[in-house]
Amino acid sequence: MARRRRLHQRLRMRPVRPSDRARLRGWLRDPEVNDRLEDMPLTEAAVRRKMRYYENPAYDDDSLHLIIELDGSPIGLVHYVWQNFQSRTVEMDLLIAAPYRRSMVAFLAMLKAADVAFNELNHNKVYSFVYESNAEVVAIHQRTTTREATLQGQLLRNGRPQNVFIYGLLAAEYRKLRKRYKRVF
Amino acid sequence: MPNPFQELGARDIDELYSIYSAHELFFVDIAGPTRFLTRPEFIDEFDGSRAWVWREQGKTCGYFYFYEMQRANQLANFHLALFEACGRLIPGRVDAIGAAVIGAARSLRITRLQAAALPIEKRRIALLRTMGFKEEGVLRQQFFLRGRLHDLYTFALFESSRHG
Repeated sequence: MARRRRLHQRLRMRPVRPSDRARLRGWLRDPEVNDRLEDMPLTEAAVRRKMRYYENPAYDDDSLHLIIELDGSPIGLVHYVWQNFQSRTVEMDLLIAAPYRRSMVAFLAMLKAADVAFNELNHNKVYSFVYESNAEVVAIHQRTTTREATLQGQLLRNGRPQNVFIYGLLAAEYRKLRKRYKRVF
Repeated sequence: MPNPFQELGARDIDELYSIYSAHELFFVDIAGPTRFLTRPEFIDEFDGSRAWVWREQGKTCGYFYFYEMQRANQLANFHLALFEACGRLIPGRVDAIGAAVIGAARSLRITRLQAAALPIEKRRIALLRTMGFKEEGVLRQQFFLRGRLHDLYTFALFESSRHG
């Protein structure tokens, strides 16, 4: 009898394909996703620009965009931006579909995304900008990374300042994390 | 002391790069700190930015610029460099520099300025603090320079109106 695959084994990262276009457009038009993007609100022209950005690696050679799949179905997107090959740092932004945000899937997707940054892209550090109001994402980062800065009222949403946290994870810390979560990862 | 800075126009980009490359060997920024910013990189960084230069008796004493401005969030990244050519910074000069920076930000409706500095840049850190910048955190091992990784301090200066 075939052994049932563990959750992290059912998660896979792959490059963005032209066939993802409709789904990505749908995600970008989702008001909740839109609200989480730094350069909101996204107009149609901005959506087109972002699509070009996702699909064409040559559009910005510092960036990499990967689709996260669970059992072969896309459930999210990870952006690696501002890759700095001298300092070996990269900003990592994770977008996960709503049904999975509070689950173990989101946590494991985060570890998997960090794994790519450290073990495929050879970085020494990943960092993320997280809105204080984004409670699910803050909770995941609190479990796995270190809060390094609080940018007071960095963003204005409807005229109200909103704090943004910078979370960082070093390669050495990631290795310890893998040991700690070896039962699930 | 009157405002010693004069704004540079978009056409003065070569002059600004000359000043930058003559005095600064690394560029400190949260996301993309780098050593030896090339002219194309500098132009890319400077795209849409605004710069002010301070000259005295034919010497360049310093400059500051706002870059990666986000109109919707009323914020900009801030870079300031002062050079030894014009002597030590006396308190009156620091006040004049602070007033010039705040005046420039207000004219552009910017209510939050963000800056970053390496721990070894003690002079820049002291100046930022004197101008009222608050430290917001320390980004660990963020910048590789001279054979090792350095932490990076992040600072911000914001209008009190921004926080009610």
